[in-house]
Amino acid sequence: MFWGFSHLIPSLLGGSHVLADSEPGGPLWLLPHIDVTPETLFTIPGINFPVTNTLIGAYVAMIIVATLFVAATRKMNIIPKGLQNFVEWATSLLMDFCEEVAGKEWGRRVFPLIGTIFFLVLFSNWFEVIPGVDTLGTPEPGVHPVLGIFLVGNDSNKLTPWIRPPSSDLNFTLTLALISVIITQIYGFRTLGFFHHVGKYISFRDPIQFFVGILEAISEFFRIISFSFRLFGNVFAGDVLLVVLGTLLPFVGPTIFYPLELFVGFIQAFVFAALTLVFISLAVTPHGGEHGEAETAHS
Amino acid sequence: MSIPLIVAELPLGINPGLMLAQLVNFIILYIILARFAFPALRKTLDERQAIIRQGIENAERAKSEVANAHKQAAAIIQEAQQRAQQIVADATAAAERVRAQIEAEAKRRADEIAEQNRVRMAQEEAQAKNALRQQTADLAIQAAEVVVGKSLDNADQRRLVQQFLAEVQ
Repeated sequence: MFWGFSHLIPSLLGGSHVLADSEPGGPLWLLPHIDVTPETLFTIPGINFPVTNTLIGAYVAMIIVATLFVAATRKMNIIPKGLQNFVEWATSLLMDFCEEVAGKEWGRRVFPLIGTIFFLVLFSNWFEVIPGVDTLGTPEPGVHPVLGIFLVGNDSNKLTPWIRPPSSDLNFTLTLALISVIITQIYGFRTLGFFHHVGKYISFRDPIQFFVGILEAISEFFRIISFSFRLFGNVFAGDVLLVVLGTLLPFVGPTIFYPLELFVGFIQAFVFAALTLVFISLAVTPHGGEHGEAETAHS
Repeated sequence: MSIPLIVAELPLGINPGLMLAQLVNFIILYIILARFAFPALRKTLDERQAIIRQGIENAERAKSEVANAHKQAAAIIQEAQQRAQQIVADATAAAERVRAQIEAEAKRRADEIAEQNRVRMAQEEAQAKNALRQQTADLAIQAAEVVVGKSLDNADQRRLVQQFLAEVQ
């Protein structure tokens, strides 16, 4: 339903051919500002807390996911249909995957965490293709929109979007990465006991064990970085791709990449959730099986 | 980009304050999903699985019961046939026995009657012979009386004639 529509707006904001005569000689539109840092919409007075467009996006995503699930499960019917059927289908696929990877008991225990991560990240990623995201916003001071709403010419990129995909912000991805890694560690400590779990990283039994322990500790730390930057990189790149194509080849350009971005959004959400699941199931396993994580971490 | 007082801005737009806000967002969603959505989904999925398993088991059981019933029916029919055959055979044997009995009885009775007849005839024959002998003796005596001219009334004479007749026989 978003087909070919979302980036109608950037091209209009950037200045369409209808408004071409507003600034003769100048460019019709400019490439948007591309910045890793999320844009601040306003600051909460008192604590001077910056509310960014990705934060708004994250809360909108949360509200969408929560509404979807609560609406779907409000009146559960044993013969599912409509929304309940769809949500059940998606959820049971993920539940089955959890039980396959982590076993029946652990799969059921960690599913709420994995499910929350997956659906939040999924909807955050798919913000890329929703019309108005990245394109509707507040003009910078001193900019005068044409016809009251459109920005053209040299003003075309002087805009602070109201909503930006949350996963194109490192704050979002890094928070999730920390949640994932810290909860993995908590499960490790709780299941194996303090000394056993620490023994994975610090071992004086022999030099090889000692070295392996150090590598384990380092890989544990770098997981935070790989988790956060993988998701951030994919979604930020996809977002930039869509926005830039919207200015280079309005209407047509982004449309071609919508299926790709939907796919990438799904894959990244799944990878994030699946890796968390794998790391937790490795952490609660007493010994051995530790060598899989180095390979899986690179996907 | 304004810098919050509570935390310093780090490279790449990383901001602990924003991360805290994201954490809160995540926790809210986690609580909503883990408290309200996922348990209901899990319960429904498990219930449905149980119902389907029950249904399949019932169908299996019904199938095996039908098969059992068929087997039982076949066994019953076979037994009935065997019993019928047995009864017919028994009845035939009994009839045969009765027939033989009756036959034997009839034969025995016939023999008996024949025997009785034979005995009676023998008796009659003996009687007739006796009577004949008596008459013959009388005639002989009469004849002798006529010939001799005197009566052979005494016992010695009679005994003599009878002896003679006995020898003649």
